[in-house]
Parts: sequence; C-alpha cells; structure tokens
Amino acid sequence: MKAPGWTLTIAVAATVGVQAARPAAQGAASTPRSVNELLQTARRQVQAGDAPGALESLRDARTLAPNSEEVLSAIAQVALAARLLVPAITTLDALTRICSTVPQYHYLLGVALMEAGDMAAAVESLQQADRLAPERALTLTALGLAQNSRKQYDDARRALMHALDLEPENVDALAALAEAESGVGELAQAEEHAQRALARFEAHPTANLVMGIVLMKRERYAEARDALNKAIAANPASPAAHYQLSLAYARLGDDANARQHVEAYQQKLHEAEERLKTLRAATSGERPR
Amino acid sequence: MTRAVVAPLGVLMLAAAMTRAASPPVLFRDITAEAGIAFQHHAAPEKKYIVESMAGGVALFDFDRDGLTDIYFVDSLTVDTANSPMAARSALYRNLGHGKFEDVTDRSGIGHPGWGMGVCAADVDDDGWDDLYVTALGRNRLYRNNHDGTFTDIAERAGVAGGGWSTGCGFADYDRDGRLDLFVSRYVKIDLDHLPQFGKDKTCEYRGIAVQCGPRGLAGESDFLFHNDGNGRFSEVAARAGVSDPNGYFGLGVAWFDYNDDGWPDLYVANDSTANFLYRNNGDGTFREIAFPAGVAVSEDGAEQGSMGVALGDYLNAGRLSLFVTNFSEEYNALYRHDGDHFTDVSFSSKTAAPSLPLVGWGTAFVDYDNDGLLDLMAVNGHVYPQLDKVRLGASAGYRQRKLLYHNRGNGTFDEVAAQFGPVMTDARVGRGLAAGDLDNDGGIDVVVNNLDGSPEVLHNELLDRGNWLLVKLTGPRGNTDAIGAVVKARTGAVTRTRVVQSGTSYLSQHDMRAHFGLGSASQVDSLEVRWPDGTTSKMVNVKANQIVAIKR
Repeated sequence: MKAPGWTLTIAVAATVGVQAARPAAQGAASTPRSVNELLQTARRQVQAGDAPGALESLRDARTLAPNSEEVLSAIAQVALAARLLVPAITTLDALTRICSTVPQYHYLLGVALMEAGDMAAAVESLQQADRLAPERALTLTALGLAQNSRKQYDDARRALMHALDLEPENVDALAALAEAESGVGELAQAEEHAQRALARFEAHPTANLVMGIVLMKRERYAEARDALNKAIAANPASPAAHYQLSLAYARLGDDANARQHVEAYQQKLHEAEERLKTLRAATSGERPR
Repeated sequence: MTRAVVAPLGVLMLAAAMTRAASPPVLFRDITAEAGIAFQHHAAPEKKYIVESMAGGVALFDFDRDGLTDIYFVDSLTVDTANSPMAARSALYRNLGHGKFEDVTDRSGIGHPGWGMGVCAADVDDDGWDDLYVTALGRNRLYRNNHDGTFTDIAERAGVAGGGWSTGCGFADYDRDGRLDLFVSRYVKIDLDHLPQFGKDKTCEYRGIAVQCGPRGLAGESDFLFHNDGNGRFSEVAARAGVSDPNGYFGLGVAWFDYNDDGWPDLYVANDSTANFLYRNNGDGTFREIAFPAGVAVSEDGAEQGSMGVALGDYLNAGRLSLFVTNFSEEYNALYRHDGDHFTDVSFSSKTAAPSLPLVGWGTAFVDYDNDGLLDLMAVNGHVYPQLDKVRLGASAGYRQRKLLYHNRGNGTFDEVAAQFGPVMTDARVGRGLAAGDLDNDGGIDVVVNNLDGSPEVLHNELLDRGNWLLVKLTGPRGNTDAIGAVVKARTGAVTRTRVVQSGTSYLSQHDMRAHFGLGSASQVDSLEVRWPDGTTSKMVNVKANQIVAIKR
C-alpha cells in the first residue's frame, strides 16, 4: 500500500463508476463514430489498461455529446482510475453542475480535489455529498480527512465518529479520527485509535503519521522516527511525514538525516504546490491564497 | 394618559437597568477620541495592489523622557498618491498624562516618512534619548531625537536608508561590541511603474474573484543587517552574517531574542507564505538558519504559513521565551513552546489555534492584562482583500475582523475571551500594528492598535480586579542605553517570571520597552534580577509591588 488512506476510496468509487458506465457502453451503435461506439471502445481500452486511449475515445464522444451524463461520468471514472486529476476534476465539476442532485458526483469531486490538494473545495463538495446522501461512511470518512487537512478537527471528529458508527471497522476512519484527536492535543485517544488502525493495517500511512506525531510530543523520538519512516514508506509524497521525520532526526542529533528530510519535505511540498497550481489553472474553482 | 406614559418609561428604565446588569465587564476602554487622538490611517479603499494592504506599525516610546509613554502611528501612501508624500501623515502624540495626548507631529518633523510601513525605537546615537527608525516602501528613515521635541532624519548619512520595500525592523547588539545594530526585513519587489495588474490571472484571484496579486507569484526581497560601526555609520552586512535571505522570502515580523541562552542575540523572522527563519547567533558575527530543526519554520503538518507578526513571552513562567506567530486565515496562529533546545508547536493543544482559523492575524503581544502573574495573549486581525465582503466567505471571516484575546489558564492552555469584554474587542476592524505598554503608569497594560482604513484604537486597561504589578525601567550603559536585549527575572516565592527588553516585534511595531510584571496577590518581588546584554547582572531583593523601578547598569 503506497497511497494515502483516501486513495482507497477513489479506487473503490472509480470501480463502481466504471460499472455504472457499462449500460451506456453496451447500447447499440449504428455508426463507427457514434457515442455508444466510442463508449464501448473506451471500455475495451480500460480493460486493456490503456487509460490514455480510453480518455481519447471519451473526449471524442464528448465532442459529439458535450452534455451527456454517461459520457462525462465515464471520463471522470477513467480519469480518476488513472489518477489523471485535472481531467477528472474538470469533468466532475461539470457533472456536479449538470446533475447537481447526484451525490456520487459530489463525492467523487471531493475525493479528487483532496487528492489534488485543494482541501477547501474538497470539504464543500463532500459536505454537499453528505447532504444529498447522508449516512454514508465513505463520504463521512472522506469529509473527515478533508476537514483534518483544514485543521477543522472538531468537525472532522464529528464526521469520523459518525462514519465509525456506521462502519466500526473502517480503518481509514479510525486513523483519521486519531489524526483529529492528535490535532487537538488529545494524545492518549489519538494513540489508542492509531494503534487500533495499525492493528488492522500496520502500514496505514495516516495511522503511522499520527503515531509519529504523538510520539514526538511524548519526546519518544526514536519510536517517532520509526513510525514516521513507516508513514513515508506507505506514502512517500507526504510533506507532513517528511517534516516530522526531519524533526525527529534533529531531536536525535542526526543532523544529516534531518537535513535530508527537510529537503525531501521541501521537494514534496513543491510538487504538491505544482499540482495545485496546475489544477487551479485548469478549473474555475476557489483559490485560497 | 399620564399612567400610560409612565408605564412604558418604567419598562424602559427596567430594560436599561437590565442591560447595564448584563453589560460585559470592562477590560479595555477605547479612549482614542477623548484622549485627543485624531490620527487616520490612509489606504486605497479597493486595495488593488499588495503595497496598499500591509502597513502600518505603531510605536510606544518616551521621546521626551518625561516618564510618560508617547505614541507614534505610521501612515502610508497609495498608488494614486505615491508621488505626493504629503498625502500621508504619520503622527506623533505626546502623552500629557491624565489620559490626554497632544499631536506634536508638525513640530517633531516626523510626519512624512514617505510610504511608511513599520517602526522600531532605540537610542541609536547613545545620547540617552530614544530615536525612531521607520521602514517604508522606498527610503527608510532614521529619525534622531534632538531632545527638544524635534527629530532629524539621518538615515542616508548613517547608511541605513535601505531601499525596496522594507517592513519589520529591530535593534540589537548582535556582536556584543556595545553598539546597537539593526535588522530590517523586506517583503516583495515592487516597481510602482509596473505593478502587477489587479486580478490579472489565477494567482490574483481568491475564491473566484479578482484581488490584488501577491505575495505568491511575485519576487521577494532580501533582508538587511546594518552593523553599527560606532562612528554614526552603519555597514550593511546581511550576506556576510548569513541573514540576507538570498531567496527573497517575504519578510515581515522581526524578533531578536537569545533563544538558546548563550548570551548572543538570535533572530526570528516571520515570512509571509514561506518558511520562517530562526537565525542562531554563532558568536562570531555570523548566524546559522535553524528554523526547521528548531521546529519554528512551518506549521505542525509542514505547511508554509502566511506569517505576519511575532510575540515573545514566557507564558509558562519556565524561564524560556516561547514564540507566537500570527498567520493568514484558514491557517492558524502558531504557538511554539520553548522546550529548551527546541520548540514544539502546541497551537492546538494550548487552545490558541482554533479561534484564529477564520482570521488573518497581524499585531500581537504577550501581555498580562489582569496582572495575575501569567502572560496572556492578544492579536489583532483583518483581511487583505476588501473584495471578500462581496463573496461567500467559506471558512474565512470578512474583511474587517474582531480581535483575539487569550487568557492564560496557568496550565499551558488558554481561553479565548475576547467576547467577554464587549464590542471594544469584538467590533470588526482591519487591524495591523499593535503595541502594548502602560500609558498612564497605573500598572495595567494598555494596548494601541493601528488599523488600516481609519482610526486607531487606544485601549486603556480598566479591569477592576487586577493583581499587583511591577514595572521595570532599565537604563543600560553607553551604546545601549535602553538595555535592549536585557533579560529581567522577577521571583515571587517559587515562581520566576521572565521578560526581555525588545526593539521591534509584534507586526512592524514597538512595544513600551519597560518590563511589566503582573504579580497576582504577591505584595513584593523577592528577587529582581537583570542580565544585561553584556552578560553582567544586577540584583535587587524585596522589591515592593505596585511601583515603577528604575535600574541603571
């Protein structure tokens, strides 16, 4: 597992989405360039692992049917599955406007925005998804994760506890709850919930990051270093994990490793900013300073 | 008919009485107008350019040595008035006592420093009278105090005029040669003839609306360190000393303090939208930047924050100065607890972070407003985009914002209590500079705020149940007569409280340099110890509370 917790939800959602696109793809096609033909072609390309080719076919379909929910939905699913976030987000942005009452699109948009790092917009999309379809653990977990990123720990905790009421074994929700508790300084609870998440999935990136932060605050720097190394192994793109690990090494007197992880942190931060810049250049959403 | 009239009046009187009964306790009373302070800060209403959003500082200093703290407000120009320096009028108010001030700006000659930004004070020429350094867009001013209520700008002659866009400043004797040196932070490279166009692209948008550009997307400025050569001249040595910021981070708040207690002043610089700096003094005229390993560069999760102001305070009475940094909205004000050889971000666990999330923070200070012996915290807020009021706000407050006041609970946590003290704390303003000090020498800490777009606030502390107090005025030896950098420790029983004499800090502002101690119920300070900047110490014992103590080196 090399991805942050919430990418699990993208994968699940994307799978569901591709399934949903099938009926449209299975429809009759009388001409080679018809929308249905292109949808079928895209489906075959997805099955063959050719996501760029599938997206090309779907873009052709969109040219023919610019406002087709089926086509837009298929583009979003394929782009998400291929982790092509900008086309996924721009398409989902359109879908949430065309089909404003379909919770799935708001959810997927929220998750894609989280993945791209636009947490403010992600929170709003996920809140809308939750309003349209309450009592979904998947949505509540994603919302809690996004709120954690916005430091809205009390709100996050509410969403995550609700998610855990619905799915007590949800490891992502458990780890995110630990993150919220760590955020507000409730270290004992954070540690307990992170441990529970790690007992279910020992390489969980968020749970390991929380353990690292908790152990740093307890001044158990060697153990923090080990937890943070696990967090980075699970999610090498995390600036927070690299930053905390640099602090752990600094406290342990290992200046070389401390410097190395500051540099890694700065690199990951730069990459995240570039992703966000690309996204904002391609969309008309909110742009925090 | 009469009864019909009387009854409603009775109801009204009862209602009024109930209102009085329910009115909030008074902490600060806004005495600005009755004190005779008519200063108005000028800024372009639309703030189309970032240079119109970032002023202005305020200084509390006793320019005429009459024992009463005076006030200097910095005003700024706008793009439209940039070529008319008289369009902005900074103001010097002489404290007359009894809550009255007199505008002595015209006589003083310090009313027009150009496009003013910030201010810090020190006795630069070693004559026992405080001088004033004013940062600006363009040439900075060093106003030498002529002892007669007038000042003379000697910045060019002294070699400290700088240039570009200077913001924060602070004096300290970083090389311990007995003379005060000067650090000046700078912000963004700005060419008034080629300003980035308002809302020109997606880096100049916020929540989908056009706003001023920057600081991200604009080139930053390096910083200055002016070494005092001792002959009325300074040399710019930032690069040689290792504090020049060659990458051009967006420098704002400045705080000199000896974080590692080795006797050499270290330097913290709050940078907007980029990592903050902590320069550790190597003791040989150079510094090493250690903010990351020290844990004070970024937020706990590694986010570079839009840092503006800095406060220093020993809020745990642990003998160590912690750092409080005000930040942009949807970030959080960071409280970095000093843990000895490093700092720990305790912003959320101390309960200071959450209330700050919707607000853009600027001027700030650790102040013991109730004299209970524990340093509380105050910050003023206000956004940079007036356009914000026309759109949905999301998690951010509007353009004008309330203040934050954190009461220290004594266990490492704070309660945010601004709302308890009524409109003076909760009315929305566009706060920038904040300076704290005792304006009337009554032992209560007062606060002065410079607000963008209008009137400042002179907030007189009128809390009824304040504890005992001590105010310590230090006079240092030649070269540093204000004893800037001196550490004062007041012990009562088992509790030792620590203060440092600071030049600069907050947001581009200057606090009263006297060390203020709230003492709670203690009627005396058992031991009052000063560690002077040259490392020597002075000690007094059994100092009675509720007085101003002057200590000379």
